[in-house]
Amino acid sequence: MARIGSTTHSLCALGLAVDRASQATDLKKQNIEDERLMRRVADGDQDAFSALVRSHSAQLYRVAFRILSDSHEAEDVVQQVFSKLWQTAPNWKSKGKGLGAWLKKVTVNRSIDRYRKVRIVSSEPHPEPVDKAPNQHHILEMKELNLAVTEALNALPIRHKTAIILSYYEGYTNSVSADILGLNLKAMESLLVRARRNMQDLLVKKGVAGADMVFAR
Amino acid sequence: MTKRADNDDVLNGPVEPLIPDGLADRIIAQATALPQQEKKSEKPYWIAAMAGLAATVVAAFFLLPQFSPNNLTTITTAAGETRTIDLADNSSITLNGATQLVLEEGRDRFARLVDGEAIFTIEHDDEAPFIIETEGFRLVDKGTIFNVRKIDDELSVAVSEGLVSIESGAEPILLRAGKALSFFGGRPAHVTDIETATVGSWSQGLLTFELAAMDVVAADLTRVTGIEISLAPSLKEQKFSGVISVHEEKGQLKDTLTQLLGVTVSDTETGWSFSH
Repeated sequence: MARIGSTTHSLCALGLAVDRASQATDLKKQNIEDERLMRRVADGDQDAFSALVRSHSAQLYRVAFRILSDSHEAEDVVQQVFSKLWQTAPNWKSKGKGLGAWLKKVTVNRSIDRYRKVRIVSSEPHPEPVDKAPNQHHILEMKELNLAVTEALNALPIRHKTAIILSYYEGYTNSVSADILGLNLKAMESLLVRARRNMQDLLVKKGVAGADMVFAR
Repeated sequence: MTKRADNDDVLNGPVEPLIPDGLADRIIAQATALPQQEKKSEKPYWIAAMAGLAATVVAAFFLLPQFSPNNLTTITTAAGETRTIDLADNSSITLNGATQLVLEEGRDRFARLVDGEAIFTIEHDDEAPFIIETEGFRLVDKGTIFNVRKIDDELSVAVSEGLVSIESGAEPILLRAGKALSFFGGRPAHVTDIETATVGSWSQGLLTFELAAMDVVAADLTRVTGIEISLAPSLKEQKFSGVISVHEEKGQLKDTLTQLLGVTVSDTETGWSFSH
């Protein structure tokens, strides 16, 4: 979780509170269902493939979009990932942390490769929040904070940015993030420390109150 | 038209990227229009065992140039470029800049590192260990994460997790996590202790050196940044130990190098020049 400045709701700008125990149980169920579907996809079953795409594509798109800051590039990456899955399904072997982990890993790696190749500078503006809350002052403050966080995130080196996205936005454990980035746990932790420090420096430079800025997990 | 993903309350959660309408439908339509691979026949256990035995008996065979009837795919990165190849078994190979790697169709657990540097993150399988060939050596994975560097006549392997067997015609050398081994031409290998977190740290923009000659430092910087670096002859004997972060902007990186390496960095037509 993160707390920035004097606004408690600014926690939201960097991460979600994640119930890790329930996440693990859901993940187990998801893996079992994925395995069942993959056996059918291996035999060319398009309905099973559709179910997998509908189950995973939004999450993968979200991660790709956050890394690339471009909707077309993000969709292209997710398309490539699922095309590869469909084509290689007959020889798919369940290993490691399951299909979901593999999909995330491939999506993140392809997004990083593409980011480095394309060097996208401009980012698609983040969606305007729906005006639900009555307190306009809070919304304005939140929008400004979101903008500062988005700009700081986009200014980070790509591996730092990805580490922050996986840990704070997607709420993955360090172990899952390490697996996705091909690092051992210690290297992942060290990457995250550097990424947080870097992010913190950038936010301070952008005028986000530094004195009481807290990054903690 | 677009629709908002799950959480759109800005006060209670982060602003989520919009999920494009029809994303899943487009993915399904495009993917299923592609042909699927043919299913490979499963080898009976005894065939796999015999193959393993045969491989052991003819261990020296790999040192010879091999004829392969299968299609080869050569993947090359330019200096300053990195690329990750994700394999179907959840393994991945991340290539540093100026690296050449060959994959062979039909051999899912095999790669040949022709030149350059790569991190191998391998899902270990006792029955089908991942094999990396490089000139005169064969590396067999017995664990998960390791970095391999093959530059001219230098081969170095650093293990971050698990175990790697290095074979070169003699007794295999088992290299454990936290150890690195280097061969320089005909000279004997030496094993050193390393910090596992630094293995493959180039992929995070960090170059770690321990008493490295300046030409090695310059070559590594070129590999990661794509900036061509030439050295004044007087610098070639100079050694450097430390960590260089190449995340910075070029101007900042120049300042950092000036301070860290104690050199003057000047612009040239093709890149940078280091001098005293």
